[in-house]
Amino acid sequence: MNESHVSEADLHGFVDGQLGPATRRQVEAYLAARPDQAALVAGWQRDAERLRASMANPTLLPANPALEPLRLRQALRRRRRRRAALAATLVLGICLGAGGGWQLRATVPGSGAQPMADAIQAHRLFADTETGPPPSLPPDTIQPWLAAQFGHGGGLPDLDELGLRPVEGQALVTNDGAAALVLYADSSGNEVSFYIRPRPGRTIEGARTEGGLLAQYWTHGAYSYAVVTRADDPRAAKLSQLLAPRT
Amino acid sequence: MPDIDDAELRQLLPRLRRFALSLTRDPASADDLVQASLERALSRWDTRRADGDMRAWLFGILYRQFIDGKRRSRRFLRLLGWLAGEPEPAAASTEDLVLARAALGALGELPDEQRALLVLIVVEGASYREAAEILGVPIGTVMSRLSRARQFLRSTVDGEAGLPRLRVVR
Repeated sequence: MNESHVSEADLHGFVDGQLGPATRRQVEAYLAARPDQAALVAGWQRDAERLRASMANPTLLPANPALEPLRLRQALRRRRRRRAALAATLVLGICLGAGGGWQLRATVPGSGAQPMADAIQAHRLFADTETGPPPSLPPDTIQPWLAAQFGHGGGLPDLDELGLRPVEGQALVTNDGAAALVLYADSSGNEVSFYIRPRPGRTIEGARTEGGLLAQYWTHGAYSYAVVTRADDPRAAKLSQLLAPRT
Repeated sequence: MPDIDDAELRQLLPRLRRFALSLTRDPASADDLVQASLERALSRWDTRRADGDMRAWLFGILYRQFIDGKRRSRRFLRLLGWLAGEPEPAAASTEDLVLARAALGALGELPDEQRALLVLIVVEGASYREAAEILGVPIGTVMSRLSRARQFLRSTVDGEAGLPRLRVVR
């Protein structure tokens, strides 16, 4: 007889079906011996039944399209892009201004001096793996846009064989003139960006890693190009093979 | 994969809305709360533990949003009252409150944190541990709240047994 070990917590556990078989039997024996406690527990059970009945069938709530996950994801993405675009005009303006002897140089150590710091910065602002893969855009919407801005320099790389499709084009401004970022994404939302900017004073060519991102860059004609990936992206080598021969 | 996640989300949606409704007691603000919570969840999708329970994660976000929102609106109301030199305006119209009370019964008179707990355990069938996780309190607090909530419901329902406070639909 260890009925006396039954606690109030056990009684709640009994009502809520959260007891193991042994404790459950113990509580049953206890309640059989204590009509006052049995009445209390029965009251709790009735309250629980009423509550369940009053809230049954949540699927009967009127549909609300504003709560559709896909729609929320897209809205979230748009909002973030707008914010990133705004930030880009500020951040890139300052970083690149640093090249021209701008006083804020000290606050962005080194970034003004490093080649293609703007490409990495832009990738960081726009690549966004948090909200899942974005719907891809047909390439023929981005290509004419790019060509309009950069003429022959604005060829859109076809990265289909790496599973990457263009998802977004973003116009940017550098102190050397207009730049553009084209974002590619694969089916699980990993993003790679292709960046075009007017060639700076010197010809830049090579690769460097900064903060977990790898930028591979080259110059051709009047423009410099970069492709930015995560530093551990297995496609990086293949990308440079695909893109570098364009020179 | 996000597509699968979305399907899971869609499936949980009615229950999230129900939980939100039990908190806000007003359908329009319940859906606003769900929307804000989903936006928050989607924007921190990668902070979710892969092995974690999606329901507990989402319900936890929703509950915190609700509590934060309450705090904000209390501050706001205080500020309004202070600016206007008037007592705090009522949060919802009397009619809305009466309707919600009728639907929720005595539950609507419980303090928010006790109401949330009862709904999680009784309606959602959450374990005490899950409820503790969702509400962000120790399990001991869950047990003491549960005890107070049940005591309150008993006293209200039994004390006014003759009143049509609860409409039990059979």
